[in-house]
Amino acid sequence: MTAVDPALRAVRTTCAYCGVGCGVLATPDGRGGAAISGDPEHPANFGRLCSKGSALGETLGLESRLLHPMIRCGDAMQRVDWSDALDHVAHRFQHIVARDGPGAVAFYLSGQLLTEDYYVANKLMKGFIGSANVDTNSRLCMASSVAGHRRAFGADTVPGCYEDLDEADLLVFVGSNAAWCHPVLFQRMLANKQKRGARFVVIDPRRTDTVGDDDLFLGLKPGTDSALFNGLLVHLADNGALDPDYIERFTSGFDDTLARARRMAGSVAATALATGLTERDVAAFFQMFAKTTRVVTLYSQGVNQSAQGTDKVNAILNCHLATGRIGRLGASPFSLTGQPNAMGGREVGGLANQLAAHMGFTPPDIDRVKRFWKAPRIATHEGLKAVQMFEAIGRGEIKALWVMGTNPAVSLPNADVVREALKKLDLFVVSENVLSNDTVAAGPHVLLPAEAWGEKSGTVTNSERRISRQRAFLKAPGEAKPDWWILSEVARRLGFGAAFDFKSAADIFREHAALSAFENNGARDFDIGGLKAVSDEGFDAMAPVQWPVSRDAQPQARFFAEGGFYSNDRKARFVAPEMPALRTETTPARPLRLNTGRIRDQWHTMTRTGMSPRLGQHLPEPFIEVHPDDALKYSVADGGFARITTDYGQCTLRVVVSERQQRGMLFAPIHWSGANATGARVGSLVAPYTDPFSGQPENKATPASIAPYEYVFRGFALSRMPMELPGHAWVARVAVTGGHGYLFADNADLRGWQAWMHAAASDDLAEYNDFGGGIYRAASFRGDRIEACLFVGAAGDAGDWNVVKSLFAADALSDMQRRMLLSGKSAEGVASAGPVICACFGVGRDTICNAIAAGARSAAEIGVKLKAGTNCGSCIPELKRLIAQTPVEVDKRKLAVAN
Amino acid sequence: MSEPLVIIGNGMAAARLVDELSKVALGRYAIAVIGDEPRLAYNRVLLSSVLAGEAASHEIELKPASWWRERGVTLKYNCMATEVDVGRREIKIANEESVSFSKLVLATGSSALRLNVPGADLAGVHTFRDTRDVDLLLTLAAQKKRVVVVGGGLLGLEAAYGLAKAGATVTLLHLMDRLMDRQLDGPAAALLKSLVERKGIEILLNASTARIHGETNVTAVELVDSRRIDADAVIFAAGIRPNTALARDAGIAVNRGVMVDDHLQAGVPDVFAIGECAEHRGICYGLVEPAYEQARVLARHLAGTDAAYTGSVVATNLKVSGVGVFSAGDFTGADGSESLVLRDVNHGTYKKLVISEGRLTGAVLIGDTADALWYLDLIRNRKPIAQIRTDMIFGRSLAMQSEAA
Repeated sequence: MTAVDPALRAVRTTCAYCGVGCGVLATPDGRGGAAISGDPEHPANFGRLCSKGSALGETLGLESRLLHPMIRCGDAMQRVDWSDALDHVAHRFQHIVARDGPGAVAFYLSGQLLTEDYYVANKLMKGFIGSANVDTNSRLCMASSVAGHRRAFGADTVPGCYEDLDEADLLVFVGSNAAWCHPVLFQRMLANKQKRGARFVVIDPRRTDTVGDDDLFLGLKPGTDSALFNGLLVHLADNGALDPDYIERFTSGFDDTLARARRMAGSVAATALATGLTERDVAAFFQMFAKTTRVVTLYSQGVNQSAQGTDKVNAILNCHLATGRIGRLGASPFSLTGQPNAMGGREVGGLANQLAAHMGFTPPDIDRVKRFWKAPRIATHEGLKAVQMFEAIGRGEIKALWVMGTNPAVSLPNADVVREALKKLDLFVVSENVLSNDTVAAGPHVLLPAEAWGEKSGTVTNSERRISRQRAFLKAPGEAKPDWWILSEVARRLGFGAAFDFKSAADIFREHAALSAFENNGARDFDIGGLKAVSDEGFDAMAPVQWPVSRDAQPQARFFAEGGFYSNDRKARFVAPEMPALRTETTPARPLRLNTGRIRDQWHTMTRTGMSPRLGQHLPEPFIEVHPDDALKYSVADGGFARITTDYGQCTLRVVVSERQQRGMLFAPIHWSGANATGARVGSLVAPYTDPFSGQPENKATPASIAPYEYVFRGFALSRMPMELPGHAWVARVAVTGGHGYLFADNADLRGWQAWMHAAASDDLAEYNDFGGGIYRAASFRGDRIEACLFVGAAGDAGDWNVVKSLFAADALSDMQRRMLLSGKSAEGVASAGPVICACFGVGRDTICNAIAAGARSAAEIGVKLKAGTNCGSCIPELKRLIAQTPVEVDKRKLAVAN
Repeated sequence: MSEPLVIIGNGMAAARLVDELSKVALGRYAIAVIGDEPRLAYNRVLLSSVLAGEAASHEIELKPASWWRERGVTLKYNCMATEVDVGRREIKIANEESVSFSKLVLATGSSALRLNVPGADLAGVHTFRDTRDVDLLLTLAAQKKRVVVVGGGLLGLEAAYGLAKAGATVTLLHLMDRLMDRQLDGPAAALLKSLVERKGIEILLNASTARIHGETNVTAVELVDSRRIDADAVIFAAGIRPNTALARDAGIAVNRGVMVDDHLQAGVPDVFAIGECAEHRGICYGLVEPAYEQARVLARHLAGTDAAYTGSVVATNLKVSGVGVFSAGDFTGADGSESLVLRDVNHGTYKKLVISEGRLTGAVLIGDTADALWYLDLIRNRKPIAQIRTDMIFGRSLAMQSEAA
């Protein structure tokens, strides 16, 4: 027994993934890894974790980490000292700002950054460089919710909290596959369903796993959500389900909005027509909503990622405002955020259309922030939002870009154009965890190693406004540094040292908290002034806390039950949405619409989840989901491949035919990129049209065509070391236990694969070829362990990926396993008689030993039983040896009794 | 009154014939077996095991004396039949009186070929054919002699393995560019070579013996290409010759072997031949299995039932130097055929299946021979293999599983 190292205590932190913000207990193992479990005391998850969170321990390896600052010299990146890298970044920024003005530089941030990192980046750009070109990947995620909240509430306020999900009687999911994307919250809601009988309504063009058997599923036409909620508003008005008192006291604009709604969807029938739903389903939903006081409407990317996302949000908010079902126990609209700290970014104001701390670009706000920061050059108008920012880069208007912790070359719409645009920059800086992804491959001039989850320390805010500490439990590897440190060092070199003299994340948090309270007095929702004097120790120990945390007011879990909105008249606004319409039209050449989204076990561009073998098991290949009728119409087959083409790009994906898909709609997951697959950069297919208010792109409805694509051969490779597969193959990389997996398809000659394997493998090589039958398989070994293996064959003949994967995971193969490995099939259940002893009658050692054990005590007796040894007799000496070695079963029984 | 039936030769074919006869024609014949070796019939296949110390000489006896006695067989071992008089139906035996027969079976086997090279008659030049040879070779090995084995076929490999295991330093010479060239293709032979070399045996291919040096005793072997290998002894294992002298002298038609028809009958009535001395449809078999098939057919024929021997699909299926080796059918892969090849050299496995017109037509296995008989069966029955093609090289069990699925 080894003594438990007292230093290896469990550290309380929060998950690296979605906006649920689950508490995590990480217990480092002292070797760079950690055991991960849910934090039973965290109010988001009470000890639960989803598949992704549970697998965090598998993602801590340093194999793919960027560990040192690097600067481009010609085509190569060269390792440099931090001071040189920082000098270079500061000098080049300074030069470009001096030459082209502050509008020529931009930061592109990430919902994965900590609040403190966000704060420093935002302060530097908006207060000191003097540009508001600070945007974030949250733009792709929940910008429409922010804009909708601000239009309705006067502030970006989430009125409800997770407890409402436990206490609601009706949960309406709009454009949210919470079962896959917010699994822990979904489990809470399922518990509510089971314990309290809450009902679910799921509104989505796709029948996702969020839809249970007994739920009402409304598979509406894409982009028609606001018609449905307009119809609902009318229904509520016509059936006495409004809260006239709430409308009167706390809101404005109701009548106009209702009138508009009536024109758009004035009846159940009109709503059904507009949404493509049946009248019966529409009526059922309306009645459920009208009759249920405790209703929470949850919405996510299906609402947000739309050119009318803001209108959709407001259409939903209208129904909650009209019924007064807001900020009350079990009754509220609820935006599910996608990222671990999208909310923190919003609080800081790290978006191009916000200034700071829930203040905008109004003269009083600008003045206030300027005074607080003592800012020499404060930005005075909104900057460019993500899509527009990259378009400006493409036009050469933005000349310097600093990307932190995100992968825009994959995730932005029209991603191929974005990737090309990055190459035009005079200065392209990337702060990253990983050595390679599509953005890093797009030619940055400077790479800065940032601390990753588990190393960095600060705060994040989840979907219910709860600020939690993300704590370090691992030492930063190599020369990795916190993002706030990197930014502060550059700020110091730009001459702003006094304003960026931060010694710790706690320093920054205190300033952030102070700004939130600065001249606030209840005028702004975001106020954590109660924390502005927190000590370093207090910050370290800080328990999860929901904002507001004002110095004067009582804590509150919810907003707006009694009004108190953040508009000038303190009233909420009803906003009438525009006529629902998608931005693009399908055409005969592009007859389908491409929807995009997440899958259960991957996250964003897989730079972290892609390292986990466990997570690679669920859906290992990039795919396109198609309705059976469309599959028939366009001649694509389940399990085959298809080319998806839009006006922006082309992908080749594995076909999944599914009734869950709507006719005319395709679905592709967003996770794969050039770094882990061939031809699966789904972002390159997406049209770059954005919502006029939120700037969020319409990622879920790009006109597309689909055509079958034939690959003669399918296959896979497994290797201890990363492999470079031939360029002609379609490849998807997947993490596997013990190494690297590659699923591929190809049309090239099998002998080419043999030659490739011979070049890639060690001398201890086993091979099987049936070239005439279209099969080549090979495995190389080190001792008894597989070093690498390759299976290629006509569709279905490549071998069983799961069987081979489990053999690859083993430290040693038995003789039997090695002999059967290249069959690509499970050897379990394959009768093995052991090595042949009697060649004449093919009798194996195990069979003979069994006969001996059962009483055959001479070669002749064995011969009588098994015929072994009765032909040429050359095995008789071996039979005699086996007799001598094998105890009789009767003897064994006696022994057992004697013992 | 039982008919006198005489078997000349007391080897495996003879023993099997007696066994078969006792099953189908017990009592019909008064059987006499005449053999020149001074002991009961033994399993010649196991001589290499005796040489390798894996079996004792007495253990390889096929049947105990009581077995012969119970079947009423008159055993005349250590007896040399010197002449057959077909007309008088009589056999002369050295130093003994003659024996008459009603039916005669020649099961005289074969002898090792001695190369016709200078020095082939020196002391220290041996063959590997019977227990007397084995005793001699064991003596050589015990003295840690350097031995050259000439012949890289089955017999030569067995001799080399046995000698090496018994302690001799062994060099094996083979005329061709690969071992067991009549049974194995290039890769299989190469793998076998490496496996045999691992046992400490030096193997020289393309090695044609020119002469054997020595005054009275062997001192070295010289090859045609002038290579010279020092040696204390030479074992010829480069082929066998059917023992046909007795038949020839009796005026029985002999080609390479004693020519027999489908009833195993020689050119003279009531005279038969089986085993390595017989030539059926132009083929002299050198393996035990055809001899057993012949014994079985002949026993039935002699019992008066209708039985015919139409030849054997020969398969090599045994252990060579402790390594499983199987070969059958068109193992090289004729034009128009396809080959499935599984090789894991470091694991000592090579498998090749030859397919032609959707059927298995040949197979070579080294190492893993567990499914040899199944392949042989597929070759013999010409069963279509399309459904099991993907899995068949991995064995019957897996292939049957997929076929059933």
